Amino acid sequence: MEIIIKGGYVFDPINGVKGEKLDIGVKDGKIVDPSKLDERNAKVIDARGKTVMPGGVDIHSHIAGPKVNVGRLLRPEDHYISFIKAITGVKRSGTGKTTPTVASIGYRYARMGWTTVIEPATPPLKTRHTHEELNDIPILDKACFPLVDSNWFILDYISKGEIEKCAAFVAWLLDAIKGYALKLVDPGVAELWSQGKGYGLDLDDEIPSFGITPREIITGLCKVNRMLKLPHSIHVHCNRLGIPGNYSTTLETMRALEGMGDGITIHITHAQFNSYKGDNWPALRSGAPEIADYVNAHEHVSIDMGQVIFGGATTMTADAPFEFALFHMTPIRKWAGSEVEVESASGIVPFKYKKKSIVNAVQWCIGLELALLIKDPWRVIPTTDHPNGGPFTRYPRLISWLMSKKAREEVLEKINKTARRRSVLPDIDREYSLYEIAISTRAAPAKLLGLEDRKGQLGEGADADIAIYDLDPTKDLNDPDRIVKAFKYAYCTIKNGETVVMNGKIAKTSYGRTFYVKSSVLDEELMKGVVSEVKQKFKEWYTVQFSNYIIDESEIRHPEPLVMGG
Amino acid sequence: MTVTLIPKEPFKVLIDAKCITPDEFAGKSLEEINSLEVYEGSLVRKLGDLFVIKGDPEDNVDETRIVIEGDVWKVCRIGEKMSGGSILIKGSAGHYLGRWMQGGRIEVRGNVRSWLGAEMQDGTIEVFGNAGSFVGGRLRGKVGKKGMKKGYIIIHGSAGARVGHGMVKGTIIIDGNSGPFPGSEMMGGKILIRGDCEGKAGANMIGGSVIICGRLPSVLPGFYIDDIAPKAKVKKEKIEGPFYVFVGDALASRICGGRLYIHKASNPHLKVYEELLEEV
Repeated sequence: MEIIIKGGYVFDPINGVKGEKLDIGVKDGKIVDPSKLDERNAKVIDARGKTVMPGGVDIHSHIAGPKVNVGRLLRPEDHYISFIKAITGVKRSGTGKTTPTVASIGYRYARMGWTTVIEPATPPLKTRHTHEELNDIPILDKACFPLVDSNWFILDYISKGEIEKCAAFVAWLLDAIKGYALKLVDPGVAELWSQGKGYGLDLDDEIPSFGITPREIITGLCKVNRMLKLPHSIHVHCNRLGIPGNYSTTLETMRALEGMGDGITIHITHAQFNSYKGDNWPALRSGAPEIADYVNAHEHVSIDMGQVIFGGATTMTADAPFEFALFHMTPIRKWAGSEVEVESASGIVPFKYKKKSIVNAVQWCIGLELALLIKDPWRVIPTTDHPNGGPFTRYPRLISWLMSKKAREEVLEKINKTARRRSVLPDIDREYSLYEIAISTRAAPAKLLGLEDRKGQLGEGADADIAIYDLDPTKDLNDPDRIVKAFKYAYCTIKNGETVVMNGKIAKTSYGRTFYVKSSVLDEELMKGVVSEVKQKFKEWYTVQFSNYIIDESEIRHPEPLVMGG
Repeated sequence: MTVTLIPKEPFKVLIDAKCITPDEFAGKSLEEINSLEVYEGSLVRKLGDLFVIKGDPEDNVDETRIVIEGDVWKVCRIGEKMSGGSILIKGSAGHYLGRWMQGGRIEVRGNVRSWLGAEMQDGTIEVFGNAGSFVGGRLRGKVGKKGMKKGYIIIHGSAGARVGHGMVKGTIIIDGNSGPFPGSEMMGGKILIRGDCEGKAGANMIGGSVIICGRLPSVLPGFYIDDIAPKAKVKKEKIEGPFYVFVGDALASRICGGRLYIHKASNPHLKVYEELLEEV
């Protein structure tokens, strides 16, 4: 199938295209030179007066896995009103707002023009479930990050100082469960939670059962990450998340990884939840300026926002002690929690962010301050940490806040007055240009994920993932509502060379690939030794068999391994 | 004035017919009413495909009267969000009858299934047969003040489990017996059960009162005896007692705002509580 997109304003930051009028050709799922295509055979999409961008890339969104499913079970009230109707042969049905059902996740992302989404936290033992759900998410390309921070094998190797063996284990683990990068959630806390402790574990507090600190886990896994040449840096949810005064812990975490090598060595995820100043909740203030200053001065850090959107949310994280504490703070009296043997833990609490609440209003300000004070859009990604800060369907609103001071002021007028006084947000005049939006929602996440040669760009040979928005960059950008409307319903989304969305409506259900990493950097002797060690300990530590733990390639609908090294 | 609906043939699967309300019918011609969308299972059908529709529709919601001649045992969500007018069902009705109802009146000559008047805001529902579970109940998963807000439900037969689950205000009267857990998680309002109750009355209640004239097998341990009242009052009707008055549920709230009125004569096995009362 051949497609020619004619006359749109193209934004392609990786190739340096800043809103020039260009034609784009698509053939066999790849982008090609339009002049080589025959217009008579090709489907021509008229994009005059419209914006053409690469398909969106979401670096952090909890879309699949056991905890997402428990969230759905915990919140039947989330599913009463929202309802997507099935159309036979075109799309499947679905419900849910903050915890949407599997199929509707794919449709809603595609409708906004997003085509690649990452599930950022899956316990390795339960990754089979995650892949089953990922397989069933239509349209999107996806990948999942296994949780490694409290894995006994890794803690054991780090406490013994055997970084090479740890690297061999991680390489085996990523291949065995088809993971993409390393996710650290409040490093070490899940290990303590299995003993009923762990709330507020700081960077230099010792984890008694292994005699190491979270700092050692982070630096150790960063070394492992560099050693295996993984495409993405370590993906860290910092210690003491959601506790006032935690910005210092975040700064310490970033400082701990200075001088670990070239490029980005750490990705701080949902940084908003980690940028709190003040001694207690009523005295909460923004630590965003400090974090932003540090990020501006250092090249090795990237962050994503974790912006709070007012309205309903379902907080779900592997940071179980925090969720337990949050449960006691919220008026909604229900929660779910679990512990995964040897590996991880998780907790879920429904939550509602209110404009008049001082804490929620400060949180809202912090996220935007981070995005606006950090100068380099290549290192700050707009996310809502779906569904923790709000559902991903609110991205258009988030983009309008970034692009328009007027839109921010409209909300600032309605929020808690004390929070507004404490924030520096009213004094920030910066507005993202459409080009910067294209960087931060497309090119930058693709680059951070190491997928920039095929995602987040429109150069020849890249995957044909394209979003066309009904937005004229020469005249529509002054109206925030126009921006919201354009991003909410993409005029057209092309995924892998197929038109999946037309005029804001799903036109076709296709299924995307699942990326995972095969690292063959280390020598085989070492790998064999470590795997036989793991096999022995497996019998002691796990209730499952070693052979049942490994996920075969045939269990994934469209597997796409990225081979690293060797 | 009156719009009459007659089922063409017995229903085989559940029908989702939230359009059968005075609000939808008002101001529409018969043809427009015939072409309203309903779901038969997963298929989209027109209301006219399932029912013969007669009568002359009215512009005013409050004067619109819908009469369903026959059994609509499988038709769900009738009268959803209705704000006025009246519905008369001369047979049995399905789930979610009068859910989120804001006013008006529903009368059912037969039985109804579960979730009758769920989360209703106002209005009156009268059922001459029996009702299923969750009469006037709050929907699954919701917490806080989301239950029945106001209004009046009277059931001349018996009701199933969890009558008035999470209700905030309003009145539910059941002339027959009730299943277990009447008034569970209740926050206010009144429930009167003239017959027997299967037990566990008022579990997790934090307000309101449940009056049981028949037999209750036992009182939950979260309740304390408070008093013996000679009479109980529901909607200006005085019910002769005497009643044991329990307060609770201590498990849900320390304030113990809920009240259980248990008829003394029907429950001789609860006499042990009288000793505790004398000690105080």
